[in-house]
Amino acid sequence: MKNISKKITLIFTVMFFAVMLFLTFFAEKIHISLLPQVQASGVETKLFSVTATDENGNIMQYFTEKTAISEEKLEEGVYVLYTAEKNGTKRSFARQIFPEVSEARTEDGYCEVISGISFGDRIIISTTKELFDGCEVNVIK
Amino acid sequence: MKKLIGIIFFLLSGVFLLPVAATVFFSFYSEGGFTADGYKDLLFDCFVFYPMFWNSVLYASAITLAQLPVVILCAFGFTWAKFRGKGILFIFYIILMMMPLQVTILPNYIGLRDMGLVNTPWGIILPMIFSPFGAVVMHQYMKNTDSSVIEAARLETSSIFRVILVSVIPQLRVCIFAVALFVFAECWNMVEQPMLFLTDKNLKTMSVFISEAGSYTGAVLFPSAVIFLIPVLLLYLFFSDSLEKGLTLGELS
Repeated sequence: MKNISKKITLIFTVMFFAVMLFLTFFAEKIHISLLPQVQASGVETKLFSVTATDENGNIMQYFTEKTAISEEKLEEGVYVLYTAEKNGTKRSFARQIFPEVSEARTEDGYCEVISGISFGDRIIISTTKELFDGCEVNVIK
Repeated sequence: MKKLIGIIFFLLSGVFLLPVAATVFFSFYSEGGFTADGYKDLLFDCFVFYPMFWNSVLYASAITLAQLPVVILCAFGFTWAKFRGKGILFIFYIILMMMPLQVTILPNYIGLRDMGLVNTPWGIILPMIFSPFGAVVMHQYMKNTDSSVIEAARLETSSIFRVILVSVIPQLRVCIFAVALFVFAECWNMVEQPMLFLTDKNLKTMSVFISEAGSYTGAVLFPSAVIFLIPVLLLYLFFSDSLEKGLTLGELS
């Protein structure tokens, strides 16, 4: 009886350490595989026309490059990528932003962004799963 | 009367087991009910846990394996060697063993700093290898060994190591397992030394992780405590016979 209980204890010990060893190497990979896989790119810029009056009262029109977002994305909001530390490791998260836009439009349906998104931000352009504000993501590209 | 004593011991054992039972219970219980979310948060969302777990295994195993030869040789010297000041030296060992950790930790830190061992695994392992507890306990067991076996071994060989290996260790096998279990449990549970001597998070132990569990996202405290007690529990279950025999050996002799 004692030999059987010792054998059971030994088997349980080996299984416990085998599981811990497996999780040591593969837990992070399993975690990442369950996250939304996203692709992100830099914020787009478009040329918007600006009208100004010079000192002689002449109306001048020129084009300037500004941060832009397509009208389609305005309604559903934009997911911006940011990095934060969670449980001792740096990870990527998605923040949902509803940017403030001006009335200016380009011909291909882009709006000028006044606030909410800045030039250095990375916007998620595609995802394998539905995102929500603050969710952790895995960036593929 | 026997029944009453049995009931009292049953209630006492319940009191001792209550914290362990509560730990296991709360590891599966959260506000929503019974879930394994705590284990999910710990094992699949808290990756700093794994290096700390293996550090605990490494330090406890290394210290136990390294301390045993030191302890056996030291105890053999105290039992069989004849030299001046042996008694006083043994009393110093006992005083050192009874000193609280808070008294010795600062001199330990200064010594390790001067040797350049702070923030290294050796800073944890080396001081514990030369802990006096094992030597004192082993000496008490060695006093009860059969001296005729040792005398017979000394007729065969002049090597002290061979005498210890051939005649002393076989007699004390059970006691060695008991001391090894105590030493492993002591090293597994140590928290002050990793906290003070190690600054690199990748070198710290699970006991430090549990003490800092509140700073991690998710309900990781109770699941990590459950996983923390599994290795020592398994070791105890495996060596429980030896522990029982080892603790009573001195009395029988």
